[in-house]
Amino acid sequence: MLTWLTFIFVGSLSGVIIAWALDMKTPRELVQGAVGGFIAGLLMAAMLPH
Amino acid sequence: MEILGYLTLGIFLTLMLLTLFGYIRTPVQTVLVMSTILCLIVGGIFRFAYSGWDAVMLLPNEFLGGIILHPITALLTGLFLAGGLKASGGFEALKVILRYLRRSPIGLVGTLVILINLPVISSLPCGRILAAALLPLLFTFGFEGGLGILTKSQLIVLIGAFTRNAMGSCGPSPIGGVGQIGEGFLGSFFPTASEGILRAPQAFSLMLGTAIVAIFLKMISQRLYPEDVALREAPPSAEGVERKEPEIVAPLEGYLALAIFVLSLLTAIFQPFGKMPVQSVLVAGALLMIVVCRIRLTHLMEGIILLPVTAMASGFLAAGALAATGGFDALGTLLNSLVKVPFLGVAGMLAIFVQFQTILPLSCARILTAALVPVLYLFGPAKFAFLDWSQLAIVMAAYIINATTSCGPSPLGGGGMMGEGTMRAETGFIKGAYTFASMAIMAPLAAIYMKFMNLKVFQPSDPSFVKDITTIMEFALAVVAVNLFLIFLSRRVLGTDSSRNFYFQLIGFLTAGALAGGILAFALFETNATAILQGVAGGIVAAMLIGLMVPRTLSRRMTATLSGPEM
Repeated sequence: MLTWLTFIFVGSLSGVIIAWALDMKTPRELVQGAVGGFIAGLLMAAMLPH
Repeated sequence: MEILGYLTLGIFLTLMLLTLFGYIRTPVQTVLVMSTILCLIVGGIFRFAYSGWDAVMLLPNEFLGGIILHPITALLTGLFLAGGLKASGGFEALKVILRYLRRSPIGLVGTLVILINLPVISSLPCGRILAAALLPLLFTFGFEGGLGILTKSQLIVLIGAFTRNAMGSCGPSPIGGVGQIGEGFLGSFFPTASEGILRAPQAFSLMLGTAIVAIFLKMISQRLYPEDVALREAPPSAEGVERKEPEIVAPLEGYLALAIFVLSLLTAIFQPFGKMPVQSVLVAGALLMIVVCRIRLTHLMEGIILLPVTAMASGFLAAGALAATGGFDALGTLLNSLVKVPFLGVAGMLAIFVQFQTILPLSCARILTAALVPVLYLFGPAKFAFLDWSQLAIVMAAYIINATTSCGPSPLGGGGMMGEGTMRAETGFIKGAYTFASMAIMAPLAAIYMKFMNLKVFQPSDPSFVKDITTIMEFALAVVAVNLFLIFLSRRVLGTDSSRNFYFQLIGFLTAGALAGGILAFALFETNATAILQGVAGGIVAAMLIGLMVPRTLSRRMTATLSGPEM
């Protein structure tokens, strides 16, 4: 469970940073970036040994 | 005989440095084979002189005994399966899925974030596989590619961040990844290490490191080298003109191959049918692809990229020759002497060691990893006993992610050059961003993740290991905040004078390196103030070596390279 949470956190954080770096700075775009990162973190956690 | 070790180590390091600085212009694998032959000849002469002919006859056995076949065969089967995916249209199917995702509520930006992280999620044995398949797709997002959705600056960030992620994804790969070399050694203590003890720390730090690369490319690289990317912006007349998206059609076999690939990967990772070698699972997946997707064996063979395979094999050969002739003992002794330097100590020496492959980036991380992980292993209870097993795992996590990402900034045909080519940038454009993220973000965060999460996952019976998600998050936020502050500060002081910019950037590297060294020392020795200060000192030394290698200007440097080195 903790691995999932950690990767969701790091995915969302990196998603927001990447969105900002891509000049997508409106609140909607930043949230979309975070959600994209959330999904990426979730998928990554699913692929790891627990 | 001790002198022999120093001699062969000298041969190896000299040849590597001459290659890196462009004085030897042959593929690095060839240079490694040359190094192997030279070391063996010198070793043979010394043995004959000191111990006679019998000792010379034993040399080949000792040399070949160091070659570890598991990562090589896992890499071959991984590439074999990826070849099937490519031949059957699996990457086209992936592109169709991404197009649907872009039209979903997560929109373009959410899709791009997933796309950038796709390499680490899929964790193929070489980042070049996915990069070769998807970089042309990323290019289409720009004006010259046809879609015109992204500006030049956005496209640089997208391509650069994606390539960064791809050229680190071979580390946590369970199918012949670079990390498996380290996992093999950690298996001496952690019984289930081969199931992926180094995967999560690498993936965790790579995801955050990728984001920092994106920011660095936007804020620093484009400021330092404004004229060195030949991508064009859309002309004013093209603005507002709706462009038609090229239709991507994927065959049914492509979707089936993608499904077989994902299932094979999941089976290899989670072993739901009992323990079996990862190679067997991947070969079974490839056979299934042949039957279901009607592809040929030659298609699968075409997927095998020789660079990483030969890199790993030549790295093992060079490592075997060094081991048989005492080169590693000499390296161990040299590093041991670094430990005796008062301001470095064990913590400072390790802070330098974990950054070694970013200091000396070669075309494939496997070359030096195969040679240096055995040295790192000797720092543990096996020989020098600087570290206990848990500390060795922590250092290994930091070392491996730093090593595995080193092919990105390598000017010797490193994977990052694929990204530079796609964004039409001069060689070296991405080097600052890639090395900064590996040094300042990835190495320390991988160590923290290993300490506060993975040791407990892989050794649950040990009460001294803990799972502390709060500490991991605090460290991640602190490291990101400090490095973002450094990047923003650097952005403000950068001007048009390239020499001045170079020194400002170097100061940023030194500060971030000091922080990384301090965090690594904390992960190893906790609140021991002396160790932390020594880690900071080691981090500064490593950062200086890395920062000095970042090019001041690109075009002039390229011209100098093309016109030949000044001997």
